Amino acid sequence: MTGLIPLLMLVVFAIISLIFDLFSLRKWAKLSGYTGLVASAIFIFLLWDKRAVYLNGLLNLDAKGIYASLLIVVFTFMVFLLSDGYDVRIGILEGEFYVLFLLAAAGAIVMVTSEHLLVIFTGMEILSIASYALAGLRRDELSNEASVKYAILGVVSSVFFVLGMALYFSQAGSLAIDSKVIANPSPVLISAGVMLFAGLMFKASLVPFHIWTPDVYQGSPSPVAGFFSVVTKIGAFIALLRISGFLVNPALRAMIIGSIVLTVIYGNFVALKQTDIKRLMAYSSISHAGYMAMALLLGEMGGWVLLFYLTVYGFMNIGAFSVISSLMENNSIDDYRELSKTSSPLAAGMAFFMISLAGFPPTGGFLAKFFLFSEVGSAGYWWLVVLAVFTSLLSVYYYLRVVVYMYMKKGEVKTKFAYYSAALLAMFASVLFVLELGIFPRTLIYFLRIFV
Amino acid sequence: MISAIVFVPLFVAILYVFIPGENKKFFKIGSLSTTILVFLASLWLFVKFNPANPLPQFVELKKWIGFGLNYRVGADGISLMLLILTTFLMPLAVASSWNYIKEREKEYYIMLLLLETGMLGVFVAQNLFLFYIFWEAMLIPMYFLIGIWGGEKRVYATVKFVLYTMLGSLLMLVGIFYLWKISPEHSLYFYDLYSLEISPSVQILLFAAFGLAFAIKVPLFPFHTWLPDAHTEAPTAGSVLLAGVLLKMGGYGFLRLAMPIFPEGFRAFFPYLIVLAVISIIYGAAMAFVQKDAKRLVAYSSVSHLGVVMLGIFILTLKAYTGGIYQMLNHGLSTGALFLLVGMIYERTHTREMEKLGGLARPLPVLAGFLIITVLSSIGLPGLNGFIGEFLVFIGTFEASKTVAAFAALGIILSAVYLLWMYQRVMQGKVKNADYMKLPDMNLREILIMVPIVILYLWMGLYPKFFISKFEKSAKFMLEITNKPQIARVIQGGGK
Repeated sequence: MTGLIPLLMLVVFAIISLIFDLFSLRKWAKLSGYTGLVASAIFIFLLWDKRAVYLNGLLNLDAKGIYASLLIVVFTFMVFLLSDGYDVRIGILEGEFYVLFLLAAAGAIVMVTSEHLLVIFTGMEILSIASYALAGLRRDELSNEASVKYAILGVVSSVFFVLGMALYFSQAGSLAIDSKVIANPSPVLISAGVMLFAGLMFKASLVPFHIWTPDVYQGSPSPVAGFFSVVTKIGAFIALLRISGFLVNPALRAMIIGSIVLTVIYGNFVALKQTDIKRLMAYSSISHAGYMAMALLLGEMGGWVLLFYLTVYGFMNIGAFSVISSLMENNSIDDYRELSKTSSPLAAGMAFFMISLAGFPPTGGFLAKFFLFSEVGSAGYWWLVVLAVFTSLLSVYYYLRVVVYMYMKKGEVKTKFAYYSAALLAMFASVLFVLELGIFPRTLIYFLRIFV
Repeated sequence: MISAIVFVPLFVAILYVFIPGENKKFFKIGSLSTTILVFLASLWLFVKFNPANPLPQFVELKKWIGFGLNYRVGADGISLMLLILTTFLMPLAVASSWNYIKEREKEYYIMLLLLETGMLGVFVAQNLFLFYIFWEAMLIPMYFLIGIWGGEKRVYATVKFVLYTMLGSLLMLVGIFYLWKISPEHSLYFYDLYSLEISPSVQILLFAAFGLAFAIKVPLFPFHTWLPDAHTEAPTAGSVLLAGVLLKMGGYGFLRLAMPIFPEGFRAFFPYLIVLAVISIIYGAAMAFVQKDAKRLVAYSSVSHLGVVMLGIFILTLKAYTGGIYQMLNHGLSTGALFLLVGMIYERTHTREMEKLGGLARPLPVLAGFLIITVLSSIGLPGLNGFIGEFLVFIGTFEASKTVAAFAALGIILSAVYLLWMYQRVMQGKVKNADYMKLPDMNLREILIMVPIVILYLWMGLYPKFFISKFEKSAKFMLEITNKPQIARVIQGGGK
């Protein structure tokens, strides 16, 4: 039971929030959402000393799981800050907005704290179903399209995963992930591995399972897109890490390497031509997924680099989306023209996140890439590192293009907007964290290396 | 002390963020006094420096990220001179922006100060990781300086500049990963790297990776195409620092990292590098000939002059090596001054087209005087600084190869021609535009910018020993490491 408390906190406060919403107590509903997150974070901290396997092996609260859960709660909290004010402006008045976030976060936590396929699947479904609803909340055509597209393709990915589970069960006689069974190179198990990977690669938006990403990001409300780009990725990648034992098999390894190569090339090249900031962020998230997937090749060793990358990436993306949310739905990059004049804090923040996403020192984005690429290189994949490095040169171009529009292109100012203290708060916090992770990452790195 | 010099500009820049942008005077005066203060502090280092010791001095070592990624700074003779060149040019760059920059002063001075921290950091870093951080971080302020305050085609120029530089440095980054993994205890300390034993075939790859990064920065032909655009579009201060300091980083990178860490790799590329350096000298000069824009002409002259610097460093004789380093300082001064003067002319006439200018010596006698002495310094008139550097490089090259020296000398003759021709077209002849007769001559601020530079021309030309003695031991030491890698193994750890 103990291991479930952080989850229960999220679910209980989600229900309380729904009850408040029933009586149209919007403020209270929102407050209850915040409380749920804080309470959950506190219990995650408390669980640190009780790292163990719970519920007969269904929940595995190891260091990875706990750290990832904490990330999920923190980023969901920041997404709440982005939504504060945005929701009213854009006309999302339902209290479910916050409830759905809480449930999705709960699903993601389930995903990262289990080594049992059925539980991972359950978590993935909780996360997904809440996500489908979230994507459609803006209720215009784009948003509806996003929701439906996400749901249909999401179900396909679930089918893959379930099929993988079935095949796995036929060989292992259990759904618990067992490294000895995984290492067995029987054709059925290889197929099981392919299916399981495909299901999760969809959530991580790795090529060729990335098709939904740009449309869903573009259509969803901006804070929701931020949530997808961060929390969903954390869930998917930790789950992928847990089944990365499959990669001892050369066929599966070749498959994931092929997917990485395609992802980093495709994501970065297509991003070059984007004119919509959210589509740009979608392709950027695809390319970052490609980089992060490289950590899977390292097996258990990859845990700490992956978690470090996810941490930095999360703050960078939430930060960028805080600016995007503050501009409401003015999403053409052309809308960012002269932003440095009309709203210099937002422009400076956005420029900072773009520079960090492009991987310039002394930001966290650089260190994340530094550790990831150097580990992958020393595992022998030097050619992959060279490819990754060259594709990130492309990313410099498209990230800096946003900066060019904000600072260097003269012209008519198109966007008028107000900004919200809460989103700005998330932005400043992200700036601080990204800088902190870029300049003084020592504590976190030691922590991750020792425990993960 | 070194850390203070490096990071004071950064702290001032952070402070600026919290000050409202209306206080324009404050930013100007604040930046000027900060940069002067930093310059004075670096003079103190110059005085305290012990020229008999070839190893880094004023060393500071702090645990930072761990795993060999430590914070280690220090300065040997070569670093020290480049450090002082940077701190010397900074106040001039700030002063030259005084009236030239009329919008977003706050951001402008923040970027200048950030740039100073980046540039100084590159020269004093003693850990490869730290070096790379400064090397890359410095791109960002330069990107904004060109992109926001530059000329017509600034966006094109600045993006090209960043992408070109990144292209080189990313391959270097892969090289750094490799070195980090193979070096014992993951040390990236320069003097530990010098003693690494790397197989020749790997050295060739790594030298190519590092060499490309530095060759783009120098820039050596054919990697120079970003430079004319960046130089022409950048605001005056940007051009001054680009020519005066940023280009030196390429040469510095070669002599500090690429050559001594991968001596075998260097040997494999040696003939090509010499050829590239000579081509740069002649090609830069030839291109300078046909330019119509005075600033572009100076930019191409930079390519040519840096060819001389690189020839001196590559040819591996002590005289040429010392001369190459000395020539870096000279080039920083005289090309920096050329950009300042062209900038001053532009501020008055709003054109840099030499066809439209002409006869400016009549309304602007003082400016003409400064221009001619700068031109003479740049073409290496005996008695001025340029002569010493070029002379040393040529004697050294002559010792090694007469053919190379002959070709390189050709470029020098050309440089005399095109620079004097530029002077003639701008300053002499008929005044093309009647309005130009009313132009105001240099004011006190502008004269004060130029006077210290001219003093240094004479000082460095007449008494070069004063400067050379500071770095000759270090130069000799670096050269020995490059020639015979085993020496480093004996002395290893001495620099701690």
